[in-house]
Amino acid sequence: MNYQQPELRRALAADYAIGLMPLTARRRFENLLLDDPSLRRELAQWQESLVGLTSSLEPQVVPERVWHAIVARIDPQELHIPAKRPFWNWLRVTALACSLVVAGILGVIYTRDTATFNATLVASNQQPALAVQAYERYLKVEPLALASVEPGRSLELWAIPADGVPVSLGVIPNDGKGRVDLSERQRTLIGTPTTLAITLEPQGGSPSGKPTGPVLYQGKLASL
Amino acid sequence: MGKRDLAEDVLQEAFVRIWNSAAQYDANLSAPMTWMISITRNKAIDQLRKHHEEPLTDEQAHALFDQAPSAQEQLESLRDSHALQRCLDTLETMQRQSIITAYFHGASHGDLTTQLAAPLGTVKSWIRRGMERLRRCLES
Repeated sequence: MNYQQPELRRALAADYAIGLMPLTARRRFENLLLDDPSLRRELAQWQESLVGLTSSLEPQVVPERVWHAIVARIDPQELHIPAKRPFWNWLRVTALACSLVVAGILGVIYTRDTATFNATLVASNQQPALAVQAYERYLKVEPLALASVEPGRSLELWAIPADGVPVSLGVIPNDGKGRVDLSERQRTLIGTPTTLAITLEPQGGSPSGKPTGPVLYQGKLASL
Repeated sequence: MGKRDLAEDVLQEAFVRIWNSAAQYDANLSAPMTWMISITRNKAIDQLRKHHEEPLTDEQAHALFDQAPSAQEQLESLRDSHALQRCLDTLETMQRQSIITAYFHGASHGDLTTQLAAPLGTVKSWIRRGMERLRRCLES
């Protein structure tokens, strides 16, 4: 067969794209594709034209065990012959880049979120000292009337959940104005009944992970 | 595929293939989804043909025939929403039906002659003219 004839090439590519070819013809066509970039283009055009047909199909949930089976077949190859398989081939890089873009977009959407919880932290004399607003992924801290902090000391923000064990949310700037990013674990605390407290700690925060200095300010986190 | 476990096998084969041949993907040719769907369809066709080689029981043959309208129905559910659907509408009935039956059921030319009760030459010409018209419509 003369595979150079444009009409034949186009028709063969169409047959292949629809899925009409018997197995032997398909393999033969795939061999032709290997050395024939213009045939690959012809085929890709047909495939792009027809792919819209699949949009009418209902998505189906794939059972977990199928994913496990897939991962089991993919993973060992990476472990056994890592050197021979260029892991950073560009499709994976693209996939990663896409996920990052999606993550980035989600990040933007989340940070546009309005505050969901807030707290006014008061000093021992009940004077409001700081306002804290909790967003999806961070806390915004604003000073109201804050005593100055002596050099060599830091202010550390804690969440004290119902069980009473304080969890550090991080050190806040000594002028009281800042933003504290929340980890996954810290975020889960925000939705529960929580008291926020600020203690005076050695510079850089408590070395032990537990409050060591006096509680300067505290207040309950309330839903907005 | 007709059977859930067969579909799951195909999915698994397809994903492994996609993973292993990721380096062959060419972004200048097609969108990632198109490429992945092509691989998956080829795996599905392989699987279907494997079973075709075993002679079909009457019941299976009947089931296969019965499925053709459902593909047509699926298509109608999305009518008007895509250029592709609009262009498919411009085809003659048998041109459209032969393309869609082949696409959704992995039918070969031979299967189509049985399912559409037409000689091979006629089926081939439906497909060929239908695809040409589809292409021209999509490009316009």
